[in-house]
Amino acid sequence: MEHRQVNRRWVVASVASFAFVGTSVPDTNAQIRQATEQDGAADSKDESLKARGPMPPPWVLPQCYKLIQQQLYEKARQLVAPVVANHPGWAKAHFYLGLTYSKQHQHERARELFMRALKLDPSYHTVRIHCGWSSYLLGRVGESRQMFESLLAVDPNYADAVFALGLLDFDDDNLPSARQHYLRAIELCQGSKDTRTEAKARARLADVHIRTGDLQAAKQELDRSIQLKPDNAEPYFKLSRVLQRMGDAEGASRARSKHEAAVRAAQATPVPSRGRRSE
Amino acid sequence: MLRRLDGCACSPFVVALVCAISTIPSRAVADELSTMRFTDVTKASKIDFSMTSGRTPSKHLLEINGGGVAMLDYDNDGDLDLFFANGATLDDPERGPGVRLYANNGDGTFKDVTRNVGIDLRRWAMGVAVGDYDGDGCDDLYITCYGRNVLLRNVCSGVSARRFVDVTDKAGVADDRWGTSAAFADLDGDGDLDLYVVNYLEFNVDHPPVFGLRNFVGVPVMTGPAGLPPQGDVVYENLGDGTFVDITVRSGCAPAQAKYGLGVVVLDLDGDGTQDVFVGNDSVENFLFRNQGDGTFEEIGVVSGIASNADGGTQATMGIAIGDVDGNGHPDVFTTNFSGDTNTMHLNLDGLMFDDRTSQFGLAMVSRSFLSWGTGLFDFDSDGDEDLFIASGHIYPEAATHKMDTEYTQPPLLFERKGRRFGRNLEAGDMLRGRYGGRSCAFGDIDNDGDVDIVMTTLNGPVQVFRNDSPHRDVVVVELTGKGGNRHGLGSKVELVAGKTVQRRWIHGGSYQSVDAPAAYFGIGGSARKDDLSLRVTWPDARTDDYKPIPTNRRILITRGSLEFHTAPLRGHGG
Repeated sequence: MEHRQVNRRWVVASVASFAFVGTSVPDTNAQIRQATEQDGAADSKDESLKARGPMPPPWVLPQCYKLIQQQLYEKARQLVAPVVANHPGWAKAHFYLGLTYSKQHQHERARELFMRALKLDPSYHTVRIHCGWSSYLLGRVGESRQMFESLLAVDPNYADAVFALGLLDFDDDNLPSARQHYLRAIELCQGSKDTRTEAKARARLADVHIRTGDLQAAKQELDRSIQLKPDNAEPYFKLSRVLQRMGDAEGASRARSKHEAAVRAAQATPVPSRGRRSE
Repeated sequence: MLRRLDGCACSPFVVALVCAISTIPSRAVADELSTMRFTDVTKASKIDFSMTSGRTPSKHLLEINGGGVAMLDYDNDGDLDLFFANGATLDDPERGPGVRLYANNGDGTFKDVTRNVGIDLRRWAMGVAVGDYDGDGCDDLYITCYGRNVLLRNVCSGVSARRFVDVTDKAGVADDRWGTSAAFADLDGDGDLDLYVVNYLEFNVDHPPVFGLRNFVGVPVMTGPAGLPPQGDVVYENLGDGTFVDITVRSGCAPAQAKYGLGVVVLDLDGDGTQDVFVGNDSVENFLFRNQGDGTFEEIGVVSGIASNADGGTQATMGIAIGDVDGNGHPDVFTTNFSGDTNTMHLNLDGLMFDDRTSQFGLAMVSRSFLSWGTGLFDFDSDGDEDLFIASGHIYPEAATHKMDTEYTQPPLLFERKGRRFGRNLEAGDMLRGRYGGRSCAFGDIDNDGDVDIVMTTLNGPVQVFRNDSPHRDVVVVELTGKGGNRHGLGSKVELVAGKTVQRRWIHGGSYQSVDAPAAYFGIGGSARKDDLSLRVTWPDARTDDYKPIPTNRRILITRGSLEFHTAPLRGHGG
């Protein structure tokens, strides 16, 4: 197999919100289109095409992607499932089918398809960020870490993977490493103007500060996170907790009100079920 | 970790946490091989009936909660008997197979004595609370139902044989909504047991919600709770004459918006000598009713941080376990939740402030695939720290046929405390690899050998009895007799002091729809100074009594007001 460079623009854009942690479905139409075209170009140059078996009709996978981008997952699935069946050697088809499931938060199915795509083409690194998140959301922390680390081995500046490692470290109660990963993710995001991931990383860095008792530092990170993404509910809630503990009951109350407003606004925007009963 | 403490914004909570952690067993303990062992003795116990909760596969919300279980000594013979709140079916919710009472024969077997003691309750029962509401020295039963709840008075004196009598109407506790959990507790500090009843939602069996209005990970599933009207909880004050009065509104426990209640524990969470009420609500904010000591409560769930998880997300909150996992002296609250979410460990920082520290204890990501219910923090291996058991099983039968990132039947989860974290134990018994529709569970020493056994109910499946067969270690079992009707000292804190190490237990009802044995179980562990043990009991009104020296491997029987205590033997400990 050829070594395919990670298409960073594609992948960075592909990290859409899952709660506030982040999951892995494209959220910018232009970037998706561009990525699809670039992936298609890479395919046409691939000398190992023969090893993949017969090529699917050239319009199918780009069309599938358009449907995913339009959130028409069932239709996308209907389109790509026969491709997977008839052209089982094509990693991209497995990947796209996996995306239709991960977007609907069916991560077990998605994970299986992502793993199959990676087995078919280990150099298809784009898959790793998606597979890493699906594994994470299934609670498979070891596998998730391995996915993110293998992606970072190819692209050490991949902010979302660095951020994800911070989450895994935090779950492992390794606070120094979590802090380091969050700080690095913030640094990378600032370079790429990825405010979404930066906002997430700052809110999670606040968790580390809360755990170590540095409430002032936690407050600063949460304020910055809110500045970056004022529509995110989670930082308001955390800020209310921090202010409450700092003795600022009024500030805490204001933050709680903003949290409630942000939750209401998010609920008013239809999104696919995250697989949580509270939705 | 915690390295930023030097010169930090010095939260007293963190200081307390660091001090507390110093009492937690060292890493050397964590590296020890597990000795925990459980044996499925369901068949040998002769508890051979299956719970009923609608039909399988469940189609409606009413069918999925399952029934509760209580460990109690109804006949005062010194061993633990078992009561099961059994359900019914949608076609006739008033005439199910009936609740069951099993007497402990003392030899590892149980006998169904339901009819012998005059119990004939065939309504769709859900949960159970145990308490001696009339102070006659015998435990009574309050059974929550879909429909009218039932108070069964344990008549244990006089010429007639022991029997249970339905005194619901006379006592004035016939709430007729969908009750889930309930708890007896001395809410007003007058010595007798009041009653908190948790209600769920309005459900009309004749016109159940249309199936499939709800969609879970792309799969149509049963409707609710969202979209169905919640039902408010009820608080009853015991008037001391065999009757109760509804004080829900007067007490301040009737918030503007009712919620979908599932679980409850009552204990002094803020350490002020009054009993507070924590209610686990399904999919919405939990309640924490702080007892203000004047007969009223203030709802502080959101302000205290216990209403949701660390991200502000509301959770399903079925089971509730209490323990002092960080050793700071305050009761921490562990709750079980839905699949795709994590269970939650709320540390009690100072009595009024809670912080979600699930990750810190290694209990977060491991729980994502499981939908969990009854739970308990107990020192199953008697090594001096508390372990964790969780009953699990999904509500959507579709999980058996569709990929929903979870399974319909699930193994129970057993976590062993290893140093500062909990580690999942898959080796301590065959049941940990089994598949059940786990629901409620109760914890206590049913074979009187000093360690903690488990009884778990399942959805439309057989009751499971898991006997703790871990190697005997030094233990202390404490049983209290409080004043008045609170004969088990419900709401008390029991501390076992061994040198500089303090272990704490709270005597409270139990977890989801269930009741644990009213006892405090302590393992001494290898490193403790077992020849220098003392006990401190903080009674529900905050009065404390100290007892010393405390012998190991005995039941310690303490009566309030007496400076002396009695002991009784434990099986297998030279008794």
